Amino acid sequence: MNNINGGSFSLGLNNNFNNSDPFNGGPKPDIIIQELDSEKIKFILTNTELSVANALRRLMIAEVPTIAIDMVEIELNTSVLADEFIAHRLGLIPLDSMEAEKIKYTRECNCSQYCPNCSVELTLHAKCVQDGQSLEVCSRDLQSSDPRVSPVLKDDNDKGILIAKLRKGQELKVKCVAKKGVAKEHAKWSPCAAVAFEYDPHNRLRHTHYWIEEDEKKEWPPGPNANQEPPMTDDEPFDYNATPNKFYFTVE
Amino acid sequence: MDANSDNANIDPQDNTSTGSATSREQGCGNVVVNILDKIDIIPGLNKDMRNVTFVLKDEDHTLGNTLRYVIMKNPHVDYCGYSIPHPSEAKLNLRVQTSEKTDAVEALKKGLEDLAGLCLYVESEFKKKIQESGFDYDPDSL
Repeated sequence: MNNINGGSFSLGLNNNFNNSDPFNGGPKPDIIIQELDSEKIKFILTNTELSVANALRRLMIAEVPTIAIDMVEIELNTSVLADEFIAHRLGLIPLDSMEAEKIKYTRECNCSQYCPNCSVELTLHAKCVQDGQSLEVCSRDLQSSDPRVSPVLKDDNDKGILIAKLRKGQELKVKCVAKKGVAKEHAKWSPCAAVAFEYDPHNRLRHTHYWIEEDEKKEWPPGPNANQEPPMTDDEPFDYNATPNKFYFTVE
Repeated sequence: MDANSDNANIDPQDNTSTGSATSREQGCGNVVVNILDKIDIIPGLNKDMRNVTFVLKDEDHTLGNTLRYVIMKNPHVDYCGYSIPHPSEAKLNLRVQTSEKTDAVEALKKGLEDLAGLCLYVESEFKKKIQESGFDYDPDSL
């Protein structure tokens, strides 16, 4: 776990980073983890620059590959919803992407269209036969060809996300092809729901200008990270050379 | 645009960094990227290659701003700045000006290596802190 040069990382230039110090003798970045569970992490990144912290934020939002349904073949749709409407909904369903690293991008795969190396097939077949009661088609009903990639469900009782409701006689039969992608291309591939990013909670650096009606302190109460840094005193001189150095992240 | 053809005043043998670029394919993980599809040089540069504007394709502020910061940390670099000339073109212009002690290609190379080193350091620190944190979290349980 602590091996710095571990993993399959290769830049193709020079993998020996020991002869060049990326910190130029300065302090090394540090991380303090405040909260952690399977859905949320709160941490503080220190001793680095705004550009690095912002790049981390941007990477988490838009460049972490996940798996999402990208192509939908509709074999039969007698529901009240239009084909493209259902296809769009299917695309937004979160799939378990823990194995995304082991799946290739389709554009980098040798196959002509798609294959098991670069895609996962999910099928859905539902028909309502009951009279007077509509059938709810949910993401649990998607049958995956690969057990590693299936719709995200909370527990065994969770039916998943509602895709469509069918009335008696209505039928929905689709074949979905899930592919690996990044949120830069489409937000459905984003791995996180929200990334909160804050620095300088007391606005010491004056990077923001608060819109106020009468009293700034009353209208802008201290935020959740304000207790991490000493509050501003009224006679504090403005240090125009100061740079942000402590960055607060919350990722869900 | 070819990195060599537009610079008649540069001898391809003179500078290996641009000279060998035409046929070189770089491996990034298991992805093979032709370097000419990724990087270009804006024409009108001197033979000493100290002042160069690179064009990075399919990149944005994520790499641009961080790379700018890392390259500026190099004491032999006089100036480094970046811009995205047009929002609907996935191109990033990176200007590097260096002192006599190095050249822009070397500075970019060092910048990329330092950035990779920085990322690896933050990653290892993050993993270490996750292990030490004592929170009830098992990445394998997901």
